[in-house]
Amino acid sequence: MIAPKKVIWAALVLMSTAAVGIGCAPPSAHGPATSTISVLLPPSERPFWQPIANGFEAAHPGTHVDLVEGPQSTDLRESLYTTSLLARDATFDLVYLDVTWTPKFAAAGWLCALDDSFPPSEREHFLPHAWDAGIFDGHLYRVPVRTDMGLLFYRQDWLDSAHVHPPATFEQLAEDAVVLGDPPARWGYVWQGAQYEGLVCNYLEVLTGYGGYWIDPETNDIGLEDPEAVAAAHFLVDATQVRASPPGVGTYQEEESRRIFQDGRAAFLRNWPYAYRLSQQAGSPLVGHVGVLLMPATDGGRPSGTLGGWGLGVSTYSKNPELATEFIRYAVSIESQRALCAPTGYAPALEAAYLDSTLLAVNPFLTRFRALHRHCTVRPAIARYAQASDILQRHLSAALAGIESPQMALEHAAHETRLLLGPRHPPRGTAG
Amino acid sequence: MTRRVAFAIAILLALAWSLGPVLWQILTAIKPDAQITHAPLVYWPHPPTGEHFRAIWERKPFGLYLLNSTFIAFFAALLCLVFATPAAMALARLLPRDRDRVLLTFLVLSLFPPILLLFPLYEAVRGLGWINQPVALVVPYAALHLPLAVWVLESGFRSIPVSIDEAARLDGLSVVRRLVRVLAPLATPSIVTAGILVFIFAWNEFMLAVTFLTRDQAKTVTAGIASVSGASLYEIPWGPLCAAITLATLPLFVLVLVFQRRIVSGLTRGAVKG
Amino acid sequence: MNGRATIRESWVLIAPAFLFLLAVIALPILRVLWLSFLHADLVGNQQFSFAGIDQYDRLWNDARWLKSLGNTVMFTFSSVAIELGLGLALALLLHRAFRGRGLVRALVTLPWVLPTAIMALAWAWIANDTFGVANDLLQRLGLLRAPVAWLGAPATAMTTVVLADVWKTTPFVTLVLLAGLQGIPDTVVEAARLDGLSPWRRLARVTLPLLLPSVLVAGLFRLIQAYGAFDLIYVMTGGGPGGATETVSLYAYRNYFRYLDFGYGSALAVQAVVLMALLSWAIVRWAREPGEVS
Repeated sequence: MIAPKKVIWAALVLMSTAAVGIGCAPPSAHGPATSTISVLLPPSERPFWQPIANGFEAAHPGTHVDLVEGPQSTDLRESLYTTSLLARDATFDLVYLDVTWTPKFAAAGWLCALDDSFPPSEREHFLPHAWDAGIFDGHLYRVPVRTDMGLLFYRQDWLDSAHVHPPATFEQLAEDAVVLGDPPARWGYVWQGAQYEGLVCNYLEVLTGYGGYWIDPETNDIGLEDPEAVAAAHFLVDATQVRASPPGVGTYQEEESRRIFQDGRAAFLRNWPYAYRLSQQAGSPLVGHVGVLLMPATDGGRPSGTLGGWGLGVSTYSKNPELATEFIRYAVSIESQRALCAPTGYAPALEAAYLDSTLLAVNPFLTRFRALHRHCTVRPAIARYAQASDILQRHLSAALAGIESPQMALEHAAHETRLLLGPRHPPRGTAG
Repeated sequence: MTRRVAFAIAILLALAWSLGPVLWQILTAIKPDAQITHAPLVYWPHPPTGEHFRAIWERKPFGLYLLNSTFIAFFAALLCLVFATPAAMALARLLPRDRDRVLLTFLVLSLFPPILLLFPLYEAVRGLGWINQPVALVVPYAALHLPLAVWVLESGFRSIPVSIDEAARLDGLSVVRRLVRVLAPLATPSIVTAGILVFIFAWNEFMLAVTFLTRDQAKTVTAGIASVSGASLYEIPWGPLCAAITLATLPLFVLVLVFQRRIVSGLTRGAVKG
Repeated sequence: MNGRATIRESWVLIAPAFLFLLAVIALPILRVLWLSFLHADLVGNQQFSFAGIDQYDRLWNDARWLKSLGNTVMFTFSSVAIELGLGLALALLLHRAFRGRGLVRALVTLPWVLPTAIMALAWAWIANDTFGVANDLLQRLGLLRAPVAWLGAPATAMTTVVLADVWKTTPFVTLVLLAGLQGIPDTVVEAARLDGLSPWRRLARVTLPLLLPSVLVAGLFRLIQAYGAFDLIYVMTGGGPGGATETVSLYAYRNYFRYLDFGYGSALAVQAVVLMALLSWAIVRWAREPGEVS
């Protein structure tokens, strides 16, 4: 098995040549005069961005938009963006940002301020909450492309036959869920209780409904130990205990919960609009039977839904920032919004899109959605959101699993969050 | 007679245990989607399909991943051997007391969990502008597996009679000459074994690869595939994923079959040092 | 041959390798040590300011650190214990001469040669609650009545991850023990047989004691490797569900690349390694009792 020296040398030379060849290979195979901008997208959306990219390339000859397909998982994509941006690497010119990423990415210095191209006057063209989610420290870093909001869906037909009105308070929701449910064949109230960001979204809606708050981004004040927060946690924990929610709800994410509702085994489902859209597709047994509500509220609180959605920012390390900004402008035009939202059913971020006949014809729910969007509740826009969310997730999950009581869980969460954020301080911009 | 049968069964169980998980990926990779998500579970695909392989090849630059992995692993092994061979030769001839101490130092340096080194190496790679460059991985891999290579090579050199060394020295050959002209050729089996082992470990590495390579075209197989998993298990395309797993493990499978005796003997010899 | 000139020559040959290791391993270790004494948080204090032992104080008050340490110890010891047993069985099996032994040995080595991260995906597929072959086989064998969400519940997730690790790294133990077995002179075993000892007795009284050094070496190596395991758990569970499989490596990684808190991540990594070093040293000392060959 000992090869002659000559063969080894030949192999080495060959590999070295290949090495040089590969090392010198240009990243863009589209000619020397092409400017390329690239963005990382989830596989489910990427195909719908292609017509937008093509349109942009046609309008700007000599450019290429590289839509890189990443993993479906939000966290994994965030990780890919992070390792690239932390390395000051120019792989991604545009960053496709979740609502919660903006403060962290901006605070880390990874995003360009877009105030020049998108001054505050532009705000009125977009849904206000969606726009505001892109603001950090007084500057705009992210232009919203599509928006989302947590909602409560229910079986109108079941409520009708039981002569029950849609719930407006938590007590009514709890009552209705128990009455309409028939465990284990039918569950009253299905939601997402797995230890992930979705749990925080679910909790936030209930918390806002009770009139509580999580973190005040202005002062670093933490409201997790207040009675409202404890009541909110109890609501979710008790749901499983009284068998309104299935015991597995502590492991459910969006799809698991949606399937139970879609299979006709749940009365109430808290989820995102995509679940509604799927339930109303041709062939679904739920067509015409699903009602939509905001999560209820008590006297001190307000009905709400957690704000979600995605937008585009420009990387500070991009080699083509102007071109990237141009692309953002193009991506939020009415034509692009139509191209993205008509086939997918996503909710656009552009106000004008809610008056667009094409979009409304395809997705009449948009009108209702626009009306409800005013009531959304936002997650705290702090740079250390990832840690704060992880802390809350962990303790809420422990409360759901019965490891900690809701009271203890929130106390621990509050304590850890306080350690994380530092002492509370007066709002910035006020004297003293 | 029953002892023979029991023994045969034991061997078969061992093989089933070792190969089963890999075979299952291959089976899934050639199964049509409807049969993958069929209840009850379908074991044998009827008929087998190549659609997943086509899908994965088209959606991800798989060929590039394989090329990058092979390229990086090869040069990491080469660089490693360049440093390890002289060291091993010298250690083989060193006084036992000194030798053991040096070998122990090398060993201890190799036992640090990679997480300890990850961030400083990341900072260095970033500072040197090596992000997405093969060299970002070649250098760390060569260093991280240097102790292993030295261990394997050292026993190889030690088995060369000292008299050959002496004869060469008396012939007036310098140290380098002695190494290159006389000893290395005699230790070639060990060198090849060490090279193969370093190649394999470099090929398999994940943590550094996934952190230092951000551009898809620059990724190795491990970095490229392993970042495909989804949040909810509903979101992962298992067919194409198993096709990717099959393609990724195939080269190593072949490597093991071809170099089986070397790998096993190299590892056992290296492992005797205890 | 053992004159001074040769030793100096030897050091010249060893120096490049040594310096290379120093640059790529020792220097980063010093850097991470330094970072652990700083406040270095990209989205908090932009300044890297000196923190003394604040980060270490912080981690010993961190419930999540303690949990990750517990998970790491559980994972490590479970894995290694099973591997030693299984590895021994396999080594004994493969020690006998039979036709095709070389091929079988190579095939048994396969799991170890494959990329951990990729096989982690493979195992996640096998353990899938709805379409996984593990649930199906176990139900067919009558060992399970209903499918189990292996990676969905904390206890079973740890079990699955340990199993995947055992599958992956047992070949290493097998090879080390095989080498050890080969080192036992046939005459000793023959003598025991002639003395009328049954095979089991021979194993227990003669083979195993002589094999002990190899077992310790394999055990110690595996302990250290399992302690620092990252690839398998990161890809299989990401540390979940609910942090049930989050080990110290994963927690440190999260702090680096998700929280961007480099000082704290470094402290976690350093603290973990220090504990591992203490543990290893303790084991080596225990093994070096009088009468034991080290």
